[in-house]
Amino acid sequence: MTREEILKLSAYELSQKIREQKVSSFDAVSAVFKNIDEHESNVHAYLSFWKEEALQKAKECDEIVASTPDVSGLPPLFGVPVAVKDNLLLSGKKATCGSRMLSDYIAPFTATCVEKLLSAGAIVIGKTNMDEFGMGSSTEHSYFGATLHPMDPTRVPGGSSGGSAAAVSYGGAFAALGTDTGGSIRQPASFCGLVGLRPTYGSVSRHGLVAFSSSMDVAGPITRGTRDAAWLFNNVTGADPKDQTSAGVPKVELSEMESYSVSGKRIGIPKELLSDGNISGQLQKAADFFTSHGALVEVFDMPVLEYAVAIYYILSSAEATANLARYDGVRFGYRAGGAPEISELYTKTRTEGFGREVKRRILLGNYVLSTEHFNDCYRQAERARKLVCRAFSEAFSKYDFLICPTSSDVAPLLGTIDQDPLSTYIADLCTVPASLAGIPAVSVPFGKQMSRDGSCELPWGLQILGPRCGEQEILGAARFVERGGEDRV
Amino acid sequence: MDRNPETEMEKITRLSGLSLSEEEKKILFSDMSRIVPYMERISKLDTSSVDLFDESEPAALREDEEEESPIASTIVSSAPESSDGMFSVPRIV
Repeated sequence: MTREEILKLSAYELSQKIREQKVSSFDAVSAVFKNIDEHESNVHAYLSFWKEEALQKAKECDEIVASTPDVSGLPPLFGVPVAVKDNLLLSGKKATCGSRMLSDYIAPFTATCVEKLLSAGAIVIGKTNMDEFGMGSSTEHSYFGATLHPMDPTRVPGGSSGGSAAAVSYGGAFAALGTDTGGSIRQPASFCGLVGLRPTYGSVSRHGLVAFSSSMDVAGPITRGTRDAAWLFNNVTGADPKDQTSAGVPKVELSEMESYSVSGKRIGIPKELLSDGNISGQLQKAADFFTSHGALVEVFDMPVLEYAVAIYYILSSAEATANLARYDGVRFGYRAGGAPEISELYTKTRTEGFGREVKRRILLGNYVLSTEHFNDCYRQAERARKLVCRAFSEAFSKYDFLICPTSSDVAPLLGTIDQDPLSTYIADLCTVPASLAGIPAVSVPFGKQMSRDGSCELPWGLQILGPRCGEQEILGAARFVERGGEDRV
Repeated sequence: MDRNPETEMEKITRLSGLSLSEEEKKILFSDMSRIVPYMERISKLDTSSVDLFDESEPAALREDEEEESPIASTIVSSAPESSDGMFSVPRIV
């Protein structure tokens, strides 16, 4: 197969071709690095990659395939090149989290989800750029410079997993792992025309995921198609004794995804997630699409979601404040020079090591945790989060799944997203509810929409939300959308 | 925010272990003056029906067992400064 033909394969298809010896892993890895050579200087999706090491591993994979009589025993992702976000540890490799604070930090062990990818035979070829510690939605808040949108370099790819999304989008990896606290997998997937799955909280171990907001952080796949998303999810999920909040959840049956139909399904659209309370544009098209295939679609009220952004930012900032307290220049990471006294060392290190957005979140976190505001802000947000969970439980007693836009807009222009931090936070309205409730949600491409300035059409993602452990349902619905609703196979 | 937001933000900055330049203060304190009132909207929400302790899921527990950590020396040696298997810090007393 030619390089172009190889790059058109999904990760799943590539794995099949490798074991059938129709494509070598070496050619697949070479094809990906050719793309990296061509695009990386413009896009900056990666913070680090290791070409020779990856090619060597690919060669070894090909030798094993050639000498194995029964390839059915080979691990599922054998020889498939993938990327992982830079807040997921890979032993012996840098894990900077997009921060000066960890600019020289070498991971001493491998994150469980990355270990699972490696055990499944994947070749991890590099670590992708991100907003510092996952705080941001544009990948402009990386100490190492912004990632640009692969389809339009004047725009952002979304964030915080913008590097993972950009790499998959330009063919710099066949799939990638991102992490999602308040939308960091789904929103960049939406902006880059990809599938992004935020799995059920706890279904993928957080061991080795550098903590931002521990009660909401989860790793998940960013892929070109729904089948790859489900396949990668199946290979990274599972209970882990090293993460107390992890739990075994059902894997997704890929064959059931193919035969899924929305006929007879009940689909809800939370009114509060519509910008003006009305369905418009692409979401109307999505509602019409489901209705035309026999589903019942209705808009319903979830009033507590009006407070979702406030609840999310109070809780995530409070948790971030606690998690980032460990960066003090003593045990790992950056240490400021010229501080002869310990408290000065702490302050100088943190002041020089953290970027502006991280400082903003730390200030907000300490504000809501301070004695004067603890009950009115933090405790109240904790209680309000329970109301969000109840509202979703009630919704899923009526509907099979919910839909809404992943983002209120297509990818914005560089430099525009940080001009008004509050507006940027409010733009997370559609992604933070699933984070608060710990439920799974997937963003699936649903055509294109004109940018606000009217200059071009860009991908638009439809978000599908399901109950806890409802990956089968939402990925089935996403696959149905991807197939364009064609008759059951 | 209390009656003197500037004073309160100075206190929060100290609690955060940060030292901000005048320019950073101007930007971040101004941002906070808009962000905090938006967050404080949640006080309007009636949460009297929620008992946090009743609705919290019990944590999965495991036996507290001692095990060797094969990476202890790697962790200490990758600290900014270490000696004899220990983290080095500036003189405290």
